[in-house]
Amino acid sequence: MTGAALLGAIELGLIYSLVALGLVVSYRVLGLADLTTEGSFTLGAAVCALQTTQGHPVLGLVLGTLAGACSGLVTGLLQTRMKMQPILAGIVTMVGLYSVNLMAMGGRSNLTLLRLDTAFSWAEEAVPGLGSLLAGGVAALAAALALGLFFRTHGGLCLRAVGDNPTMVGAFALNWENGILIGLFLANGLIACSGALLVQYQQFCEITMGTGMVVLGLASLILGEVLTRASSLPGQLMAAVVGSVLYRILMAGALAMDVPAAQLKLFSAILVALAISMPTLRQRMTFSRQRKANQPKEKGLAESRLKYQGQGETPC
Amino acid sequence: MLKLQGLYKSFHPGTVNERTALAGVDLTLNPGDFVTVIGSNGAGKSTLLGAIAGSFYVDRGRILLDGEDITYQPAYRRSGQIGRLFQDPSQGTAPNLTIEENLAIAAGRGAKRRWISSITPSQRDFFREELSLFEMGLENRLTCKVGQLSGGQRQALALLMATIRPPKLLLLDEHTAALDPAAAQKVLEMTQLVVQRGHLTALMVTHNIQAAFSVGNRTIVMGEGKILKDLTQSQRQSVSPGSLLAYYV
Ligand SMILES: Nc1ncnc2c1ncn2[C@@H]1O[C@H](COP(=O)(O)OP(=O)(O)O)[C@@H](O)[C@H]1O
Ligand SMILES: [Mg+2]
Repeated sequence: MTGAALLGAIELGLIYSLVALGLVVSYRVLGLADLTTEGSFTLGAAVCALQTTQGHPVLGLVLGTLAGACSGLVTGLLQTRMKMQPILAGIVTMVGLYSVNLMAMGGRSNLTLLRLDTAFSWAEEAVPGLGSLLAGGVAALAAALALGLFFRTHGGLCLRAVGDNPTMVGAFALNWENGILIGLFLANGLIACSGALLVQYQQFCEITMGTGMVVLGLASLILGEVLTRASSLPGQLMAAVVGSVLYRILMAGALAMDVPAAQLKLFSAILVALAISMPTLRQRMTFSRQRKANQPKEKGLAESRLKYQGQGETPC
Repeated sequence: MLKLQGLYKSFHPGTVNERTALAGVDLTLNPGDFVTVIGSNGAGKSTLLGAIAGSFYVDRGRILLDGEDITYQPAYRRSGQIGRLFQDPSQGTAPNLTIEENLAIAAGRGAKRRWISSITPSQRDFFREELSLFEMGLENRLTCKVGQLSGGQRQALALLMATIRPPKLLLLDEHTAALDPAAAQKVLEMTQLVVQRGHLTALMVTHNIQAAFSVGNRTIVMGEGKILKDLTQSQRQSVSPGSLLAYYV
């Protein structure tokens, strides 16, 4: 892989890490598989693209993020006020967003931002060669840090409790439905921000760019969690960033090995499946080691194997 | 304090599964009353507590708490003044949050919540002090996830959470029934302790007739959605618990 390809992969990974961070909120904290993600990513991209073509790149990022956050609110309202199943609520919003996104792009299915001012063009002007990396890094770290700080506050704590035990939350004068609304607002805001950043980075926007985003984001998150062995919330936030970058590097590696573009989707699907099943595979391996160690035929070997015992939750 | 007037509630009305769970319940609790509730399975005890807590709205009747009509107040709002414990210890606590995090949420009930502050050292000291009351060693495990505690410990924590801000009314629904005998005894003792300490008004459902008569100052017997008997402290002493078995039909 060339240096330029590696740099590009890291930049992309940092931008996409906002999707994984959004999924930490909706999937990990609230325990919802939120399919709004696919639509809100594109919504952020579309709104931002239109504003950028009109010469307002900063406004584009802000409005794109807000629009995506509001689409999360729609899913949340369907889920709570209408008692719709979470998956279904997300699908309904996603379907509706397809039309909204087309409208946001002025009826076209793609827009080009070539030679326009964007956050990344400014960053490259300021720091030639490394500007995009810096801009992406700042965005990813700022988002991770802000989320980390938020979850340390009482409000963040209540949101975590909503995902953990809504009954208990209701018993302490909190409306868990509002927690769902706030969580989906935050999650989809982050996801839309990722889409908005991406169009400015690649100078191109198309209506299908959100397709598969839930699975890709989850795969990145889980990949990161498996490798960093993160279980705490701050760990998960870091894992989201690390996993996203790694995922993009692996994809760039596949490209460098001349995997034909047509087969790239298959490669990506295998990568996703592997990442998601990694925790289970690892558990199996630990278990089979334990099982072998529990049949002491050759004493020395059994003892050495015992060292590999599984890591349960640390007692406190 | 608490006034229930003619409460009716039926489940699945108009179907073959229709069940009348409350068939006209009138009850007045005085401040400081600690009332035990007994009655056979399906008598409507849990439904009564659910109606007061707002798990569902009653079909007919009024619920007044300290003069305020809360009949149609949503459950999460009522919970500002009403604490509740269930049989299942996992209902009252969040397993993936730590002990101190659970307590922090509980301490925010009915108070002006400071949404953007995190847990302070003085709050921690307060939690430790309160937990040490239970003599279970929980005060040294503030950062332990609640999911790692035993059922008895979790129920003790749930009890503290429900009362750390004294509620106007405490509802206990067979909250010791899922525990082993020693833990059940312990949690029952702690219940008496926190109720006394906070001068709380409480309703406690139990299948332990012995406990029903020795705990609190009043006992009601429920059957078929009605209050069949309402025994004051002096009446309780003259009734033999055995004679109450007649109500368990
Ligand atoms: N959610 C519900 N749906 C349908 N029927 C219910 C429901 N809750 C309680 N019931 C019925 O109401 C009656 C009273 O139940 P409950 O209050 O749980 O009794 P207890 O707690 O005294 O054992 C029972 O016949 C029960 O089957
Ligand atoms: Mg019951």
